[in-house]
Amino acid sequence: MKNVCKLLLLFLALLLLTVTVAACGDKAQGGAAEPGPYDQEKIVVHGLQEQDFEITLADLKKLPTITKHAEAPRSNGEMVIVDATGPLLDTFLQQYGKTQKDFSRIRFTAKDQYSIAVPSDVLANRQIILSYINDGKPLDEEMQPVRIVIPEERAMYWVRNVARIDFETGGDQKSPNKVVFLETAAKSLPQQDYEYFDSVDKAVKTSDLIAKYADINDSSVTNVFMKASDGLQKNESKANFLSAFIKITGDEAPKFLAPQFPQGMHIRGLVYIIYGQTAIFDYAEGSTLLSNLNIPKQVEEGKEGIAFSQIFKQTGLIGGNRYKFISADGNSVVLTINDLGSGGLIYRNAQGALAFTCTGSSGKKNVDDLLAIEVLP
Amino acid sequence: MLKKNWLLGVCLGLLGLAIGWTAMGAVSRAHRYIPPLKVTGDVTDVLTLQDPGRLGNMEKITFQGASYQAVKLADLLAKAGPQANAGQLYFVALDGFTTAIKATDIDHSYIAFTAKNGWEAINLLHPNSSNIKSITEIVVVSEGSGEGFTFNVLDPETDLVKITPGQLLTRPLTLYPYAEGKAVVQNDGKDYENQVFTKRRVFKISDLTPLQEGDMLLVMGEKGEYRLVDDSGYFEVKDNSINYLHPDTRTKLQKVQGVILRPPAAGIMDVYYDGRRYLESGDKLLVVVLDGLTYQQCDYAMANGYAPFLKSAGKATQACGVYPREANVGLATLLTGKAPEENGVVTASDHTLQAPSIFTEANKLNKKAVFLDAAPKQLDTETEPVSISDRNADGSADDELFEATGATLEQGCDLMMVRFHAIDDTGRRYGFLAPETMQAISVTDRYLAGIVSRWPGKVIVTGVQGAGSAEAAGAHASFDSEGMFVPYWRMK
Repeated sequence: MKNVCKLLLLFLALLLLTVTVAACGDKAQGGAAEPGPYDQEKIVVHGLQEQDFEITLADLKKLPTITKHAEAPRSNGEMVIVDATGPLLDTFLQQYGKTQKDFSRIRFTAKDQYSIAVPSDVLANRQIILSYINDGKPLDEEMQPVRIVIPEERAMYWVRNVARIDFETGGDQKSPNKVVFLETAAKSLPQQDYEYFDSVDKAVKTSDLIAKYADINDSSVTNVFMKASDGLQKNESKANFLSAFIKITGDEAPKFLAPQFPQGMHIRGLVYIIYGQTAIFDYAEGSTLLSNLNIPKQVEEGKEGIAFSQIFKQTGLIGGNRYKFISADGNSVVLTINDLGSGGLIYRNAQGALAFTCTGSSGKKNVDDLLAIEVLP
Repeated sequence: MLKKNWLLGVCLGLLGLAIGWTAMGAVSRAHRYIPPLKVTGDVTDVLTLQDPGRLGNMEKITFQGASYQAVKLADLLAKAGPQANAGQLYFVALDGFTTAIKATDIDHSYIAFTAKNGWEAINLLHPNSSNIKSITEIVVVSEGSGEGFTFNVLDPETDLVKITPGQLLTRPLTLYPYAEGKAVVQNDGKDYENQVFTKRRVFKISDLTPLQEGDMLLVMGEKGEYRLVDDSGYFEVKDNSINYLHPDTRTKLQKVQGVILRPPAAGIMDVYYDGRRYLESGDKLLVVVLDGLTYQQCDYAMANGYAPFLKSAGKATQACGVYPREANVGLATLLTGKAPEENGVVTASDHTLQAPSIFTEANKLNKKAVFLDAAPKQLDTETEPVSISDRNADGSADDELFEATGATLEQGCDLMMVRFHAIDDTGRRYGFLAPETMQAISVTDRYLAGIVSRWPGKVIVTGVQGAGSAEAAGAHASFDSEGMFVPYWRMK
């Protein structure tokens, strides 16, 4: 009987062990950012540089990470819940001087060829985590090497087993192709008195500015991007933006504001606004921004100003082969890359107006009272 | 020996039976789809029932000649935790057929699951039409409203709408297909796409109260979200809470507590922006923070002669406060100029600022800053607050704070912040407009007169929401026109 009892105990112990092992079966090995067996798994990156290139999980592990809690419902009402750890896509893109907002779509493709294109509205409003740790543990094998997690979006975007990332700039979102200089533009807009603390300054309506110099009917515009010389960047909804003013004189000008807005929505020292395909640029604050970034001023023939190329770099304008320089009086000149020579300079002339000068293959070119530059196809 | 072996055999047999039973149960469950039944609306915990075996105490009941294993509706309701007073229970069937019964009349009401009829309401004493089959939802609808789960709409003058998620679920709502995205998979070189939508039950504020052309809405969420929007977005009734959605901008705010229509542009955040501007202009700045003083309370005090100094300073600007209504949350907001969701102080237990404060700006400008506080330290700020204690044990440290402020004025500084606390304390103890609270305002007003007259620069005086007045009214941290606005003065 003793033997039989022992047998029974052994059977129960084995059962218990089996249950315990089964329960622990999904526990992963290793810790955060520690070397792992999938570190050399490759992900193809397309559209970020001229040639496709590959990155590995080990590369991603070198980047700073964040951990975010994310929940997404399934159609059956269940919730997919995860604490996702990994670098932000923006952190990865920073190495290439880009942000996710620079793209119209980013497509993630899994090894089984499932892919999803994350559209521009999601790119503009959500953080994307290239997670390799979920709930404090390395990913399960079927998710390796990386699982995309986008908090506040459905789990359909959470591509696992990522094999390829495509960065797309075409499609529904177009990069700016025109820059309008605020100082010159404001002169031809209705200006109104704006009470600001103890002073009365001048302001222009954003709706007037956009109606005259951009496509106010562009239905693809949902957000308007603004950047200030102190580095502040903000997206404002189209409706809010078009109900506001830009104060162009006095303290903290140019300043985006409106009487109905809390001060937290105001933006002082505005450098540029991106409205659809138009960038509106303030020369004075642009100079301050570049100075804050320790970028030296460009000097040409004794004139000090902002390099033509910096305007492109700051506003994200895509370069072309021909450019149309437009003066406030409506006259314009079209210059080619060769005409621009070393690049050209935007500066303030003796009368205080903005001007452009360059010396290229066709000699010296000047544009006074510079209003806008358009990139021609 | 034979008997022992027989016993062992029985034991092993029972063990095998138990394992088999468990395994069969698992297999059986795995192959049977049970549609979910949701208990939602004005409840603390939304229940999604998919396993009749986990309903709780099952009773055997007989109804119309058939016998059922059923759970008491009252037990189910208790599990979900009805908010405030549950008034009605709506049973919603798969085809939209809906019936409502009084939540107080459910002693003989049951929920059963049968393979034929799915989830089924069995109300033994109610008319037969209440006994509906294929139920998908039981919506709990409370009578009146309670704080914390009520959706509030107000304007600077008055409370306009107080409505609960359950009450909203019984109103006409729009079923809005919210575009989630598009997926694609490549097979044999061809892309196969699908678009994904979720149908959401939504409404607009204009469905609840009239709006004028161009009206702006200030939406505040449970976690300190603070967004100024127009009426183009939607409010979604999701289980027991209300979310804000904007399909174009993909703005999503979870658990909206309230909306202020036509909000004043001024807010307690202005302390940071005004203060920064004054300091950058080379002005010295005194900021006086009056804990617990609300706009309506101050208006009453001035109209009834309790605040002659403040009255002489001119009409106060009505400034928006923030939600949640906690003293440290309001203080962090005015110090940083950022909403709670951005400055990191969202609950009473948060103490670390995650945004630069007015003291950061003072430090950058090499300005000398002092922070005198009659309340215990609530936030970690660059300028360490000097906590003033109630040395004379008269129940308030405000008198000692007044003395300390005078002494600091003699020493001189560029930025001085002084925070009085007695109005909040008294309001909490006696009530919002109680004579004792008015007396506290009167005393504070005298202190203000004494301090402001001696200050050689700009002055900002503002109230900041304490939880006090709401607690006194028997509620906590309510979202109402009485508590969401504070007075704000720029002086000199």
